[in-house]
Amino acid sequence: MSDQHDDGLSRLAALMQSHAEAPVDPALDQAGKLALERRLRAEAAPRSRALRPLLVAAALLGAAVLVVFVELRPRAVSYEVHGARSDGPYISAPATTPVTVAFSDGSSLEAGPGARLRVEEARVTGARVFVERGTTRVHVEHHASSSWNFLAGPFDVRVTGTRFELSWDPSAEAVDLRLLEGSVEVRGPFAEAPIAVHTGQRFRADLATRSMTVIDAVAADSTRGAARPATSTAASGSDTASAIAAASPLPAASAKDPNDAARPEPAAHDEAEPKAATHSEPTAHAAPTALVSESWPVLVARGQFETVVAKASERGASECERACSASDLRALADAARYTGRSGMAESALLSLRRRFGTSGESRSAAFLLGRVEEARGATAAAERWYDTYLREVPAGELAAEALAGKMRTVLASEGRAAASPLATQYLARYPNGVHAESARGILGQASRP
Amino acid sequence: MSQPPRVKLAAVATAVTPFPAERLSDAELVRSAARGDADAVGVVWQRYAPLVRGVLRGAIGPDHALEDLLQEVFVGFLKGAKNIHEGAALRGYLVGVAVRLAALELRRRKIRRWVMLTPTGVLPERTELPADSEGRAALRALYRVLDGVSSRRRLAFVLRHVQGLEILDVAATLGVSESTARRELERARSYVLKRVEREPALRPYLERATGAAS
Repeated sequence: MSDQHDDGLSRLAALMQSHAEAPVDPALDQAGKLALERRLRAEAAPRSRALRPLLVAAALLGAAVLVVFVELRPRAVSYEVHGARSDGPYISAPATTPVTVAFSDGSSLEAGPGARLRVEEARVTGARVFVERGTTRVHVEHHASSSWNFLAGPFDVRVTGTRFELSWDPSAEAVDLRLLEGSVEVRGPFAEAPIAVHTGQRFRADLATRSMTVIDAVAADSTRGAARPATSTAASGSDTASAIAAASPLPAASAKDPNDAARPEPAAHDEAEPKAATHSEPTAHAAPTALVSESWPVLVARGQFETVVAKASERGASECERACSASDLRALADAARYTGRSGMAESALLSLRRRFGTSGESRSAAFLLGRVEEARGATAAAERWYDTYLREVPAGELAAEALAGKMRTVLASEGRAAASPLATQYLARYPNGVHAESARGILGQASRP
Repeated sequence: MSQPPRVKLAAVATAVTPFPAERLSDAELVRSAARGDADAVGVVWQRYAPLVRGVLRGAIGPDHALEDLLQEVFVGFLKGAKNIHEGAALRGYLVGVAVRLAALELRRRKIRRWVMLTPTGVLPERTELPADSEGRAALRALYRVLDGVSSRRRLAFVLRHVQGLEILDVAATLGVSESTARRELERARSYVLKRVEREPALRPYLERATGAAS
């Protein structure tokens, strides 16, 4: 039966086969071939014809874009040198007169007598300027994408808009930066993270002694001539950095060899201007390195802000706020502010206020909380904290900064009329203070020459 | 010894005629087609249109759509020529494309039947039937039977019994495993044998077979 079926199946298959292989009318086959060729031509040729207008339009568009790009493309800033002849990118000021460099974006440099600059790279958003020697007064016009670099030795000052003075002494390998307005970031060989320097602060670094400090120039002004500078209160190894920080409205960053960092400051020195970190003097009471390296204030002093934040996070923020020492809390607040963690900084500072009552750290924390709030744009809260500081320590080390802060916040929130009494008060107390120019501006007085 | 004049060399060069496409191997034709050479496609048509037409005829039976499907196979070949890595396998490639297109056509047919695109649901008269009336009726009946099986089963049946492919080639063409191909083939065979007995036009083929056996 199966064979019969197979045989029947073969016959059916043969029927299908004969149909499948039936000869085709040659005319039909030829017509099919021609139809295929026509179709292939139709699919190839019209495509190019159809694309031609598109290609022409694309070419025209491309040409228009090119013209617009060439005409409107952002151009690098240009500059003119007044008061001396520039030799390529080199600008040298004569020994007795300054030289002014005016940039096309409104920024300007004034190279002091004997100073030498090099505009190494002019960019669309700014320039890269080497301060090879001497003092240069810088005014960078702030724009949305401003990006300026000023290099002094191994230090790189990054600026978006500000006024400052930058000096570099190549023989002493020392840099000195005074912020007159705005803020800058300084990158250097001793700090892991960039160091922010704000209005009224002074950054100094010395390669020879491997020291790097940020101090409050206002304190310098207000205490000029005083017998005992603020930072001279530092008494012992691990407290050094916090003592430096206490002298500054923003945390001091002092960096050098860990062994050096642990050494106590001299009890006092004769310099009229406070030197926040002059760690070059060896002492017989240096703390063991291992112990010092774990101290948060020392880590902050060495610029290891992220390390401090990481250590605090490991420990648990709330645990630290509950149990950390005052100096650790202050170091944490500083590290958090330097790394842009305002919430963490605020928590640490509030904890300082809550737990350490009338201590110096607690009072400084009031001022720093004002700074945190001001940076957030919360002028009312900032003003309250500045007031708190001024009420608690009217003649404190940070009083000048607190008064200036209050002046700024009142000006921002209530206007010039409300800020005028504060400006008058500031000028009366700190006629040579960093914010004196701002105060005069509020009062409509002419700037001092 | 003096150099031959340059002009003579040029004349010799222009006298060289291209190698006739008709004599190119399958692999060379594939390479030429991949470059968009229409002549090569023409030669492929001459060489393989009868085979492809046979596969399509066997798969879908007499149908108006056959010549259109044939065109589609060669257009598909031209578009896919760049992807044919083994030019010598052109024959198998074309059969595979034809089978896939036939499967699509069979599915379309089913959909047409479901949605009754023709007034009665009956498809239009097919073309190219055998000249004799007995043969025409038998062929119609046979394809009516095959319409009752799935596309894959039907194609397995056609590839094995009409095109005479080995079971491995059937599996490769359908893109299934050898065991699946065997199973599909056996089910198709059983179904056809069962159903052809109910088709009067096909009985003579079975009876001839029975008579021959007795």
